[in-house]
Amino acid sequence: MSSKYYKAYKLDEALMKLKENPENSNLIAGGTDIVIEIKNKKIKPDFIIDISDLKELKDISIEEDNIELGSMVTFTQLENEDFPKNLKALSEAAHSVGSPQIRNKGTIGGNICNGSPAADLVPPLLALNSIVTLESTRGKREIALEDVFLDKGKTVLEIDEILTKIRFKNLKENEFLSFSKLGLRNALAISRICTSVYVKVQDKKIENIRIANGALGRYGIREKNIEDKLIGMPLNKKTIEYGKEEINKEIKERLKGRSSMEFKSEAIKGTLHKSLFNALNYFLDRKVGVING
Amino acid sequence: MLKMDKYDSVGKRIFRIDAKSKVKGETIYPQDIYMDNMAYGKTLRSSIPHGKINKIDIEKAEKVEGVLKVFTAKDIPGKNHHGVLLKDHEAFCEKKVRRIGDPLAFVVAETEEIAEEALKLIEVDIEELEGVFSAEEGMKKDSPRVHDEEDNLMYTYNLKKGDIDSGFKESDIIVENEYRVGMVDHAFLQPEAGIAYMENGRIVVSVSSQYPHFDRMEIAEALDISEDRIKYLNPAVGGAFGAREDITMQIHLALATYILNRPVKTIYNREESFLAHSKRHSVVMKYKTGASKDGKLKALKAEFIGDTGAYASWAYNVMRKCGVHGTGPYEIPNVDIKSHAVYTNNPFAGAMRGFGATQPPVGHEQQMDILAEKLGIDPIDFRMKNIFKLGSNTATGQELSESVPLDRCIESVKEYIEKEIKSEEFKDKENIGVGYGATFYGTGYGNGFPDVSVAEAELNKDGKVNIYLEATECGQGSDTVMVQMAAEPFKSGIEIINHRHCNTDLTKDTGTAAASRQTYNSGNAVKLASEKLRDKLLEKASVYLGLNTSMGLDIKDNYIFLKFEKDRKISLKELAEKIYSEDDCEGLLREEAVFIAQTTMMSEEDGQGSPYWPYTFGACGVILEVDPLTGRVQILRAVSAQDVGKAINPDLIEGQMDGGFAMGYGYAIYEDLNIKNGNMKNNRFTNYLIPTSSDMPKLKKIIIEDPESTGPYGAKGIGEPVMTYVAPAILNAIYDAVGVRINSLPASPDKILKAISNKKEDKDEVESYDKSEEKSRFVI
Amino acid sequence: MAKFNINGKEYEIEIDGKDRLIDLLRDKLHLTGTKEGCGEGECGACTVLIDGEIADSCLVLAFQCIDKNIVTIEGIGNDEELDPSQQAFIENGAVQCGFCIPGMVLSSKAIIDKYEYPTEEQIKIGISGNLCRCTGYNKMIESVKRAAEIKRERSVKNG
Repeated sequence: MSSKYYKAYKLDEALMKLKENPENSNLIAGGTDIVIEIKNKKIKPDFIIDISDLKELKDISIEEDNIELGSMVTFTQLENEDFPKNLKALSEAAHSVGSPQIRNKGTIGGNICNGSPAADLVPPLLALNSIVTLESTRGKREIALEDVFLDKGKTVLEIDEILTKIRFKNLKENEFLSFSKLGLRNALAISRICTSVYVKVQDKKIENIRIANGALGRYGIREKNIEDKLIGMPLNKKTIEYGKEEINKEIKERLKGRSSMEFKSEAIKGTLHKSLFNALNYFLDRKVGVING
Repeated sequence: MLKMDKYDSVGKRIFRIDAKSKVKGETIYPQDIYMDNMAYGKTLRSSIPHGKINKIDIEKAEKVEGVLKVFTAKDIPGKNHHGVLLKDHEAFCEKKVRRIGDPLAFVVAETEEIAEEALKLIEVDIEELEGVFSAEEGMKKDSPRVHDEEDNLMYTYNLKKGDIDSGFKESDIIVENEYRVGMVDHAFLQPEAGIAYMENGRIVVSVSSQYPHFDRMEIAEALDISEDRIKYLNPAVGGAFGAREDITMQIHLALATYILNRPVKTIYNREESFLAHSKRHSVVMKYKTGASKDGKLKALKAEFIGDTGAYASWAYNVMRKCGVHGTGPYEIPNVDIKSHAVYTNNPFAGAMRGFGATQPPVGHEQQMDILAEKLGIDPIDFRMKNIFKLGSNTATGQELSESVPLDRCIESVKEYIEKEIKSEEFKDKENIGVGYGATFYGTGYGNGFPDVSVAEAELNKDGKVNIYLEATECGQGSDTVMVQMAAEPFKSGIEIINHRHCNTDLTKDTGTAAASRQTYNSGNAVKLASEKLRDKLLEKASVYLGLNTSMGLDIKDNYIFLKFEKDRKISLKELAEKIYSEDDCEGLLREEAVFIAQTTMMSEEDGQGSPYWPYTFGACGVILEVDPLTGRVQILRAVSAQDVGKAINPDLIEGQMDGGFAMGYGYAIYEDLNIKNGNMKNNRFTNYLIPTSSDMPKLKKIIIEDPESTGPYGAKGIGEPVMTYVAPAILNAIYDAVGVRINSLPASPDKILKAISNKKEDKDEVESYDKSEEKSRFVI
Repeated sequence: MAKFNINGKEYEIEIDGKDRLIDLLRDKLHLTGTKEGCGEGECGACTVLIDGEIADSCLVLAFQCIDKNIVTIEGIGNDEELDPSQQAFIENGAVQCGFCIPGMVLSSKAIIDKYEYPTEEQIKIGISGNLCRCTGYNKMIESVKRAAEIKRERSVKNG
């Protein structure tokens, strides 16, 4: 069975083509997942639309208040972007993905829309409270990234929609994003766990914290129970130890009955430890809002 | 440092003869062959680990437009079997399946896509039988039989030396532990592929192989035709490591082209590659080792239970080698080793780099460190007190009569590590560990089996020399070293040699590219052939130079000359012209040489004998860091020292050392097929993890030369030994770093984390006890 | 018919939407230097350059490359002079079975095109998407350094 194809250069062209026959069309961006599914015949597309060259979705725009990423920004672009120090974790997360070949092709939009539990960019983008833009010929809508995922591999995207932008608030001096991934080797490693933490300190206390994990559920998720426990506490070693014990309990409960429970509930302490220590060190260097010890 | 020596081609860092075509992408692997009118084949494989075949209905599949034929067991004209030792594999299973992946049918169609579609239409009715999924289970009398007519326990090797009871009585410290190493995959980069076609009524088969002559024999038996009706062309081999010793698609392709009279090609994808070829034997190793207070090993008792999976492949030889190497490279007066091979419904195990000598070091080298710690002796000093030296006797009673430089290997490794550990980088760092491993390795088929290589050298019409030998180039560099060794007698550089590739019509049987035997065995054969041809040329030259004898003639830089009257000379080109212009010259001047290695068959009762020759020795040291929060290990420094006899090409030896280190590293830390009920869950490169460039440390490579008098130019083979000492060095270093012993491979983060948290609660895991307790706690 | 630019040559070929770039290269054009080792972007044996950047040709659909410049192993170096990476891999004994080599050499080329003096870390990362089971990478890493050197030497020589 043959498949037709369309290579789009403009978003409205792509949306028009998609509208023609949305049930039987497949979008391809970086292709790093879908091409395997096509090869294995898990997907038998009638019509494939390539959106990886939509120029208007390939920019990273950093403004004082907001940062906006086009959905077709590649991991390599993100890796090479000169983010301020408190946002470097985004580059680190992008760098931790696969291999240079994969990073050259894979896109942020693809990473989100595949809905993989181990998608490495999802935890940091969740921790940043990102908003995504979904577009179709019917119009545009914005939705919190947190609300995008329905299940493993399932999202709220309608079949005629394209995820076009990801937006989050730029960080201030007293805010920090960190990322820590446990893969089984140094490259080409799928996350066994990845953890991203956003921390805001004020008056020597954690004013706000958002913790997001990958590979610990059906999709990347926020750890709100833990966040609530940590808000208001000072950012120090003691708090970090407390956070580790709490998340250990939380994950033990969540993965109950699974063979991975024992390892993951222990290892999550490691990734959270690293993430929080990165934050602590950042604030210590800047002498903002934390007390050593 | 390597000594400068008298050689012309041997010992030099000569660029590989196959490198240029490989870097240009011009080298042809079988998947790269496209022919006119080519049909495609796809294999149907069992998804059930153990079952009775009621029916395989191919009717619907054969009706699909574009399907040429579906082959099953009933289409095999000859014997429906193959196998390197026992003929216990079927080309297509007929009555029973014994593992997931067993071949059932081969669909040949106009296109790959049609073949794939037709494959789905084959209706298979297999009644699942109770299976057996571990060697220990398989050994039980009431376990289901994998091969109906045979016990699952298919082989036991017994090795006895001295008196084991009194050996333990003399021991002040005894340690007893169990180590488990699972099946792993070769994970070469080139998945199996092949093509077969008819040529003047003969079948041509082109599949990457480690032993074309043997494959040809297996095809001939299955097709019931004579071997000379088959030409086996070995294309480039994209890595082998033992996995291309048992055949996979060869009979299927040959049969299909024979019946259909069309070229037939097939390519396995990565998952099918994992299903199709052998694995390394998983072995449960029970070790009990005793030493006296002064640091001398007194007794070693071990039992190895090897899982050979559904088929024998090399089970006898692998588990025998496991037993012989069970002591490690140490003189121990009292030894009692049992080594079993057991059938199960797991993937079949066969040859893999190290071949039964890779598993025991995971046990004996950890035992050595544990003993050393109990004795309060430095682990290196403890080894040095017990290692094989010149004149030592192995546990099988074989005298190591020459070339035993293990002491130099260990000392050089130690020196490097002790210097590196002082580096600034490691100051104030916690969880850094140092570990060592030392091993020996016996080369060749062994145990008195005729280990024969045949090579020929021929004067070409232009004065160059053609060499014919089958020794398969799998990537290890054998073509290059064979050319170097063949060139040496002519002292005219390697350019004098035209190397003829593996083609069963042209080359004679050189045996398999395995057992680290090609450099030694086939190297000797090709050296002898070249020397015979050279002597013949000197004789011929003496005639043309008007001399009474060839005495005093020498050869260098393409000339034969009289040593004491150098102007009296003839070029090889001129000589060839003269020889071939003679009326009575029939064919080309060609000399054949045969080399047969010397080993003796061991006694069945106590395993005494001389099973291998020569032995090689080596050691490894690593410095690593363990992250106690995640259980991840990073190797920061590494050194291997390998005894090579004489390095024919140091670049290639270093390449083997690097590659062997990487494979040992994968074995120790990453590689896990995750086999559950005979099903390999990790059967792709996304979940079967081998080291990447980002994981490999810089490896310091130390080549130790100590020429072996029976080796060609003193050389011994080292393709396998270079991996044997790596895993134990890493495991010992993990213990040194965080104080936990990982007794089952791989030492993955989950096991390390668990061991660390157990350690916090429990006391030392490693059992040790005083002599007085021994009787009650150990049943002999 | 779709138009492609491969190794500086224009091709017009009938393709299907599902055809991967590697299928186009190997099955349609018989550019067999590009190897398939895993079919899922893990091994990098199928690495090619797309507009100068390395990509796994098993993870790209052919039609996505219609307006791009594709370079395969057949497109670098020539009979008079090998590409610096090719030359360095030969000189350093970095080649064994050879199946990963075309992809590895192209990754090496991408590294030295990006960095005049690549560090060891940059090299290790740059070839981390190319698995090799034979060499343990050490001689490859040395080769990439040497390739950068050859490239610099040649650019001095050619002014």
